[in-house]
Amino acid sequence: MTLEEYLRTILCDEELELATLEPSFTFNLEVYEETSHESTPFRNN
Amino acid sequence: MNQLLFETIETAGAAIRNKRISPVELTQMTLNQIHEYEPRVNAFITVMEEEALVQARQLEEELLNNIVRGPLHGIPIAVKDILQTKGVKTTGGSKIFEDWIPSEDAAAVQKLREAGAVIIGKANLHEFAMGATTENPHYGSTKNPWNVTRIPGGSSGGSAVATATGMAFGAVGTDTAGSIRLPAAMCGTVGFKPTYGVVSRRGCLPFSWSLDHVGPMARTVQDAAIMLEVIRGHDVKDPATVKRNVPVRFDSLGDLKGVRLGFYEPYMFSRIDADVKWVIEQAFRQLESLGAEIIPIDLPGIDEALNALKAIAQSEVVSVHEPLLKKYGHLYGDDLKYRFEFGSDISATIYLRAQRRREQFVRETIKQMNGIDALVGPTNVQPPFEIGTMVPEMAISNMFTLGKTPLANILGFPALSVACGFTTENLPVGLQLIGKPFTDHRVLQIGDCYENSMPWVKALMMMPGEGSAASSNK
Repeated sequence: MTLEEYLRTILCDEELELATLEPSFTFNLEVYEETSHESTPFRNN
Repeated sequence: MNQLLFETIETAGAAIRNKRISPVELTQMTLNQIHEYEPRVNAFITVMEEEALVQARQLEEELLNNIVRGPLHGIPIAVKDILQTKGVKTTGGSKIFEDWIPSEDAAAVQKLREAGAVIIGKANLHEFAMGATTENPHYGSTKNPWNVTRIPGGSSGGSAVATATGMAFGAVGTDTAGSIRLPAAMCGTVGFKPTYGVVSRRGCLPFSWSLDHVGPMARTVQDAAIMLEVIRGHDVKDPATVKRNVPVRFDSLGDLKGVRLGFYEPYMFSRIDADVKWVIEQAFRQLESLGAEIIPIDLPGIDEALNALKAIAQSEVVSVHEPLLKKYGHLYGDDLKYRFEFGSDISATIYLRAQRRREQFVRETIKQMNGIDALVGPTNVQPPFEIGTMVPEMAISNMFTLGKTPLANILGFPALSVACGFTTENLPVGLQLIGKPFTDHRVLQIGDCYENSMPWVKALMMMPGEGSAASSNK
């Protein structure tokens, strides 16, 4: 069963509504894009 | 001990592809290893004996028809029991989920299967991944194979032990403050936390969604890269995953000429055990002998950022568990009960300020790392302590006192732990490299070069030492 289905077997509807089981906020990755990440060029030999 | 079980994924995979050994034979050998050593180390919550053999037979049939799914075809891999496995119970290390049998695989598990991995079992962990010791009150403590009276680190302790003892060729773990890297370091294996957004967390019971990462654990850096290449990728069901194609694989370097590594001593060497420090200093000398330059740098705002991590992790985890806690609080271990009390006191204002502080710190650190390939330092700053000596009230700070791993979680930057030596008590120490966002391949490449220059370490890591669980015949 899915996680939600399992939780329905152990929590009531009201309790389940409050459960934050999936990412509802993620870290703002744009901050990574604002600055160059490259330093020395990637080297393969 | 069967030496093939301690070979790399590359070597074992080639043996399968060249039909020198069949997927069923390799899976059966791995299961035999589990039968022999699991009672000593308690690395698994569920050993998937029947499912693994069914999968191996199917992969064997495919091989006979010249179908090779990928680099993991026929390779036994363990999965931390916080990632969903279709048709196999997924407990999260908790009593509350002991009866849950998911109808779907987690994204990483799905990708492993598609690439031909045989899922051999569900590895033990600290309850809900919320601790650094893998002393689990419901499923028992996992033991360090180098000294079975010691903790293996955590929270992915079972995954690290299974990998170290030849009960799996690698494992998938999760890392919110160091849960992949710390046990990898304490068990003499490799652990890699990718850049935030590189691997989907779909199907992983959350701890702290803005800090959680999924990543590979293996015996060599190349093996970790092989696994990462399989499990990475954008997923519409994990909004944090990036669409860009983040490079992972690399060619091995013969030296580290031109590589610049930043070292921030006030953090990396604070509260470090003298023995561990000596091992890390030797690793630094080795990096320098390979041509790398180790440069002192500053990380302004690090203390505030690490406090922000604590506030974010505790707030998010309480949000996840609140409904369960009200009804099933009695089913949580003592250390988790204490953690939830702490997290409940954090206001929304403090949480939002912490996220803001985090962004500032990321920007500042990227600036500080201009011209630097990676930060370098220890993974664990203490050797693993005796099982049963953890005080519940101290559990919350264990990840901060045992290792220098939380820094890479608040940054979200890629971070590798690679074995670098032993304390005088014969307990492993890990060297940590932290790269800039999306330079995962570069971090792996540097770690691989270091690892290849220390073949004696690599050889020892594949045979846990004299008196340890995997070599003794107790």
